[in-house]
Amino acid sequence: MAAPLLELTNVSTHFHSPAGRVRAVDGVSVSLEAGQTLGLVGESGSGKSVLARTIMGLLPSYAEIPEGSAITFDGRNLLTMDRKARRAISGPGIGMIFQDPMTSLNPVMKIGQQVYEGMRHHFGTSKAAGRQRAIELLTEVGIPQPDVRIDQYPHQLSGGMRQRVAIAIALACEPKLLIADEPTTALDVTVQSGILDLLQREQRDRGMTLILITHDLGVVAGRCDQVAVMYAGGIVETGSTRSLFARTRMRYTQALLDSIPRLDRPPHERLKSIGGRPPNLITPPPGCRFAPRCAFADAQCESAMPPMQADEADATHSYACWHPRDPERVTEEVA
Amino acid sequence: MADPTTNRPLHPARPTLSRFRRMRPTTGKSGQFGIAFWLPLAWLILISFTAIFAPWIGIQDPDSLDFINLQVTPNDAHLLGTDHLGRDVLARVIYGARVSLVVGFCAPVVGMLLGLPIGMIAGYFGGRIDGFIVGSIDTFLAVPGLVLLLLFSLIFGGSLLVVTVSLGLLFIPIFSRISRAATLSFKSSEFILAARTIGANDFNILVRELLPNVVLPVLAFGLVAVASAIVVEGALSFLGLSVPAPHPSWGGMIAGGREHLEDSPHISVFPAIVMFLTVLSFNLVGDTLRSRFADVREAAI
Amino acid sequence: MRYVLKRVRRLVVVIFAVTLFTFLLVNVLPGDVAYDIAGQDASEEEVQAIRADLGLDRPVMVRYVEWLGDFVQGDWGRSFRTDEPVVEAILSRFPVSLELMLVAQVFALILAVPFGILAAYRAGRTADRTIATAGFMSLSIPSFMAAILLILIVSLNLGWLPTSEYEPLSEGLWANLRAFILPALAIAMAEWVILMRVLRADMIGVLQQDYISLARAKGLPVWHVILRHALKPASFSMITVLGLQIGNLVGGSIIIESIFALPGVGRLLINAIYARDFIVVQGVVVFIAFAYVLVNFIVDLLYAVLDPRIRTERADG
Repeated sequence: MAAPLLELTNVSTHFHSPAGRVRAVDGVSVSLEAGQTLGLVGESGSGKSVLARTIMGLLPSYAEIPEGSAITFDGRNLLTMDRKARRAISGPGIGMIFQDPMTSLNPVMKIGQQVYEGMRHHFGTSKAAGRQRAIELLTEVGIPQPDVRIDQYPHQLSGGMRQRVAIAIALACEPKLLIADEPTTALDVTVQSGILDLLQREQRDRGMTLILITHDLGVVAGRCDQVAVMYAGGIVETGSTRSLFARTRMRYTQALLDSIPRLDRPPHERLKSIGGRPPNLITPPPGCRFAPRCAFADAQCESAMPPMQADEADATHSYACWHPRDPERVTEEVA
Repeated sequence: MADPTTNRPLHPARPTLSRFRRMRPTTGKSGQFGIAFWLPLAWLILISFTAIFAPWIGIQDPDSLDFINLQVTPNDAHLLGTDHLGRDVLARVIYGARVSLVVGFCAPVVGMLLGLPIGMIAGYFGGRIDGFIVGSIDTFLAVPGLVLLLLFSLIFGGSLLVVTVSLGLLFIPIFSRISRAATLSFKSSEFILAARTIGANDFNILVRELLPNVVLPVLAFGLVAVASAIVVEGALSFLGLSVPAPHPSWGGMIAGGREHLEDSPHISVFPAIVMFLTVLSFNLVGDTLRSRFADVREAAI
Repeated sequence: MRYVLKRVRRLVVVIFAVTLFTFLLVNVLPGDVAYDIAGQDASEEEVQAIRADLGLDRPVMVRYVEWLGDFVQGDWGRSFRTDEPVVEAILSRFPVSLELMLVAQVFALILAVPFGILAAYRAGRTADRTIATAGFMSLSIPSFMAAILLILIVSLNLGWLPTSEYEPLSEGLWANLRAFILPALAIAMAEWVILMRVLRADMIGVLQQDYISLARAKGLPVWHVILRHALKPASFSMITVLGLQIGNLVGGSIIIESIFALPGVGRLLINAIYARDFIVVQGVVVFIAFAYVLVNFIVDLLYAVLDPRIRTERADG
């Protein structure tokens, strides 16, 4: 089996704030094979965006990545590279798409320029060739009249089109890995599947690896090979999509699945939500981070952090829970 | 400035000491009472003290001419040297400080006393009164301040009183704007509404509810205005239009030393240094106090 | 469009108010100008004749209206010292003041832009605090003091730029610019801090935007991101302030022109004040006020037009 394209080993990201050290990401380990799609799921504040920015090297100056963290991409540790080498990877190696296309495109720069800028810098592409390639890319991502659009400004496009432009920008340097941070959250529902279809198609055609960050389990179910569920800075369950959905083990994942409204339930049934709030990331609880909100937690859960253990049926499916759900039992809570 | 948690002002009609405990210290250079606050403050205290008590602490007579020692550089007898007429520079600098400090404090006070109520009336009553006042302010500001000062000096003669009053008048627009902006920001607060419901009339509201709150940003700007007043007085005395000639003033000394810059630069340089340090100190102290206690958004002005 | 009309109406009202205000002020000068014109040993009849000639014996408001009438037709009177028409005196000196202002603003920008960018990029850290401190210090040096110090250090001690006379452009570009360097620098000492602070504030905001992160995610070097992506949106407010400052400078160059003997409008004014040449004073003050109000008006309009909602629409033409 080939070495994974991306491997995170015990990655942590801490922020220095006046109130203390915020452990936004704490000890995350996950690996991703080339050509696969990883769905990174979690609620707001779970650390998934911070993790994406850590991989991309886009952290602010008050962030700190403690010793012992390693991010290996294509065989090289991103965290120990010098800045120039690291920058050479951003673009041709790893590309990123942000959540809100309104703010992620430069409002005073023409679209074409934003697309071919990376190519000019990394590959020395000429302006003319860059324009040509930009038109091709815009066509590829489904933007009509690309030769006109290329000289327009972002505000002249609709939200969905802007996100397509952002995708074109990311694809311009032909990255091996693409990170999409909640690419559809800011868009209309009608537009969302179009964007996701586009991403999937590009990934397939180019043989790219894709990390899809989302809080929407529905998105994950249909489009990802692998899933990692994050909570309060750590990964609580990860595995192949099929196994994670069919044999959910960790209680948080279960609660997430339970809270999805379903069409086959009786009408007027109360929606299930997860009570309580995520923990304080400056002084996280010593044990399992989800314990305060978990219906199945006990004293052990609150005092000791559960280790990641593998599921019996599928070795690639691991979870961190002292009282995991019984996968054999088919109850109404199973998705 | 309002308490962010409850949106009530931090200075209720009867201010109590507890207000100071409720304020959160801000981080960053201008929020803290660090060396950038205490050092300038020390300088200001020093210079005020020497200026006020000059005759009693052995400073030489600033007007006495020492024909033997013309234009000497600093030595034991004359700590900062003498000027082209043999007068002791140190003494003149200190007596000049009196002029600058008097103008520096009194002019903003005049501006505040008149500008504060004008701004409050404009902000509180709004409508055409506000339009008229704002229009007048804009018109007044269209003529460069220095020109007005020059005209006043020429009409009424140069003296401490004339300079103080005319400069004070020039400060009215800026204080009006600050007080108006502060009034506008408090006008729709709940405590004003509450005062109305218990039957307070306009005058009561203005004086008992709004005034204590508006005073703070105005006062906080006051220190920066002092720095500005000292600078303007310096410019005026440089042009010879402040206190009349032999009376020492910083600007006047700088102007006087101009012809001798080549051989005796100290005549101009020492008053310049002292003036610079004083203005800088007022700026630093004023800025710290302003960002600590009363940050009226500049856009509102 | 209605916004523009409203502003134009404001503009006109303010201009008239300024002319009235100035006229009243200047004509309140005690000490009869007629005596000054007539000279020391003129007889009483001669003085009265001059007074009648200048119309000084009629009520103020009448004189104002008459003067206003002449004024809008372009007759601003003549200096009683030199007999030069006021309009010509002002117009011939205005280019000098204008050049001084522009050079000063250029110097201010040369200082403000790099320091503003640096302070924003390293916000909160040593570089930022150092620049802020330097700014405070620079702000605490009034222009006349800066002028004296510059003369002392640059001209006398270092001998780099001997204080030179003003030469018109016809004598050559360097000869012309040479006389403006020190005076413009003296003015720029306080100017640059204001511009720097505004740029820094906006730049800090821009650097936190997603599109900057995206530019960095493309692997572009930092200087490229700052200059090509961040500077343009961040300089919007600074340019507005720059425009407003130009309005201020029209009157603010008085002292500097005096010190450096530049034949500009400011120097004309101050000499006229010393000589109690009230006709000239009137004309110059109204001119300065008019220029200030006009510049503010233009900047106001530009602000509405360049508003970010509309700005990018105009940018693509």
